Amino acid sequence: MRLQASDLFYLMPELSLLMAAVLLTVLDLILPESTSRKRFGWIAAAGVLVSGAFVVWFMFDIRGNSAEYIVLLAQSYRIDQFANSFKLFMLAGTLLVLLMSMGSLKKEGVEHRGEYYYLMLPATIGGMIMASSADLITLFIGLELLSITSYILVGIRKKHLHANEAAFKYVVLGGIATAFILYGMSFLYGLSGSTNLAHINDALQGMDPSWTAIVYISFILILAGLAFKIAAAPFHAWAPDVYQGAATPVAAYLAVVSKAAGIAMLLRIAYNAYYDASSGTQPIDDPMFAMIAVIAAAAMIIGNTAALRQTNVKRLLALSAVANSGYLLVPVSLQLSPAHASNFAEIYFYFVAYLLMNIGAFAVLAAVSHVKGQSGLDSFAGLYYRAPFTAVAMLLFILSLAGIPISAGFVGKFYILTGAVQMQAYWLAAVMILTSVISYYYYFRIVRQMFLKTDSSAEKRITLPIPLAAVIWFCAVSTVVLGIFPQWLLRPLADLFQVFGDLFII
Amino acid sequence: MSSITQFFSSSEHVIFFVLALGAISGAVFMITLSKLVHMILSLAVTFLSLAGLYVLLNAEFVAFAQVLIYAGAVTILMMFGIMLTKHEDAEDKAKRPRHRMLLGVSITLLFAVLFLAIQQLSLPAQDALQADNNTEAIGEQLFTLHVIPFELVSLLLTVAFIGSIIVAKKEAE
Amino acid sequence: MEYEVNYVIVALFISIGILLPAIALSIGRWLRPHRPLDEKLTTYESGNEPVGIGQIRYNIRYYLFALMFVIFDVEAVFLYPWAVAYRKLGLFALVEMLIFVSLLLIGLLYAWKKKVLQWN
Repeated sequence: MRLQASDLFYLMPELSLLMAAVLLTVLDLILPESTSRKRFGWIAAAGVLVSGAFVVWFMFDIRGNSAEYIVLLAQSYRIDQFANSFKLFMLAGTLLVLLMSMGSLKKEGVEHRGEYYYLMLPATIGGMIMASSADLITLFIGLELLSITSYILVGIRKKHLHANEAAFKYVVLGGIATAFILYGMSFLYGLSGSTNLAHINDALQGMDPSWTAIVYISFILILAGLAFKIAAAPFHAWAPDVYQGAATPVAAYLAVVSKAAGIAMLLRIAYNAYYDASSGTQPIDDPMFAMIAVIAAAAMIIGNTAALRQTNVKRLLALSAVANSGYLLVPVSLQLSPAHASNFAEIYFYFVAYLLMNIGAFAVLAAVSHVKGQSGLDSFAGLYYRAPFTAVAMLLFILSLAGIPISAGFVGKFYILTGAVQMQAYWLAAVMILTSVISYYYYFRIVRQMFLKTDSSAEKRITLPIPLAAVIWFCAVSTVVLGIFPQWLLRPLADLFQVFGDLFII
Repeated sequence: MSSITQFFSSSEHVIFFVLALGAISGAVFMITLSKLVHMILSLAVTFLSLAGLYVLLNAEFVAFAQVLIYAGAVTILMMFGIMLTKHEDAEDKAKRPRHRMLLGVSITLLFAVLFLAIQQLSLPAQDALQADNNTEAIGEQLFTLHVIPFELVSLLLTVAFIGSIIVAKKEAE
Repeated sequence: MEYEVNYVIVALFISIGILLPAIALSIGRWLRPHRPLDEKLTTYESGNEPVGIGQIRYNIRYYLFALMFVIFDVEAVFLYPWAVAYRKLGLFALVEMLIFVSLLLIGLLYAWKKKVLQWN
């Protein structure tokens, strides 16, 4: 079992990002200090596009060959539609964040702009590995690659006091979360004698009843660590501080790409290692999924209620990201049944909607806060009179975040809700509806600021850099289009994804 | 009583006991000592004892890596890290008794849960590992089955390297 | 069992290594006269008058060197199993290791260009 030269072709999505990163590093070292690093963003974006093209190619290739999955090195690397679709999502997120950075990095006060671009690419590689692996070692290295790069990206504004604090908190707490995950993994390895998720699942399916406690402990440890990484309550305390301290594009990256990678890894581990774990005849995996449901509910409740009192928009968006982790965990917790097997489509659709509205909102924030040099709620004051189109775009994002009809966010939430009701998880559905209603309050405070308040201090009209404007408009238009024609995404998803082979390893 | 004497009749058990004692007491002193340099030294004791435990388990390569990386490099790094800080005025913070009690209770509970879970565990007998060639076996696995994570490690190290330079370098002004 | 016997030698070696200085120093202490003076108790600093305390704040530069040391230490650990298993693995492992090392070289290059290695 070794890697053949021909297998390298299947690693092209990661390799093209790596090559772009290496190229940028070398360029950064060769070019004199005075040369602008702005073009680096375009090179990085080109790397992401090439990588995305390969992923799309593999998607069609797999579909054409009637679900022939490519598995390298005994599952340590899988190219299935689960991995491909998550990779495509993360690449899209990275691309939008890169575009957003090109228009705002300088004003955000990021001095290491060259480094910024070539650190973001390895972070995305880490995320892609997390989606694409079914082996504990590879998953863990992917997670570390993403986490460590994120710590650096958060702390890259060295002269910014908030950024220093954020980076420090993130490193310490993130390190503890990683240790939890590793500890949980060590039990799995100890019990099954393998790091391969399929072997672990084999061992857990017919396990000795005496293993029960330790299997639960391992699951709790891994779940707690991953919940930290995706900022789900009660492991979310770092999120507001870190988002506030990080440059706005980095916060958007953490909210979207990191979260997707974390959820992908959680799905892999929950559905490939622990699913159907049973001691003798007694299945023991139901309580595990119930734990995920509890975390989902906690994230929805705590995220939405804590956001009520926030006056800083970045912190508010961080708490809204906590709540969104809750929504996303609902389909993860629902398990599968013959009556309901569309969990993946629910997660993915909501993720796409989340990407659009969240990156859009962060882009608007980046545009607005520069003018005033802060991210308080009042930086949106009278936005409608200063930049009417941007204000309308922001309104669309907020409608989507709040889950008002004719927006992608509404369809995504509705879809998740139907799934929960189908699986008779009524309490979870109730929590979801209730907290969504609560969230209207703080989302509409932003709307009120934009349309009803006039800001006498800032008469200046806001002019947006072109890449930033492009991101905002792409997100706004797609949010509406997906809200009106959700089947444009749902149908290909249903076509593409199969439960066996994609979600489960066969 | 007889079970205890039985336990200590095997030399392996005695060595295990000594090393475990070293590891635990090193960790405890790390937390309770007040001088930073002493804390790091006791941490080194923990690291070295763990290396001894790995040897006892026939995991020689891991033991070697433990000594090289943890007892050697990480300890030194922490030493430097601490020397960077303003540590002369390391005064005792006001102790919060309720906080500490809560912490103590939860740690005891965690220990109890882990202890009971491991206590009741029964694992099937497995083939004893051969210690002779375990570095070679690791090498073979690493460069065939786990080559993707291996290459990712180099990327990870490079990123960490560049990142630490970004964060820690004094900018010329 | 034959193999484990080696460790007895290792253990013996370690205990001799620990005991030797301990015994030598305690014999010295036991033989020498004990008359402490203020001058004798001060720290010896090449004959100069000692100033301040020993554990001062370091320059951050030392820390960067320590960090580099850790990174390359971890790299070295990966080199051992590669060297031991090299004969079984052949050319492919060589390529893998070359990629591994060259990626780290980029890091070193970065440090060099950013003048981390320079001491002024």
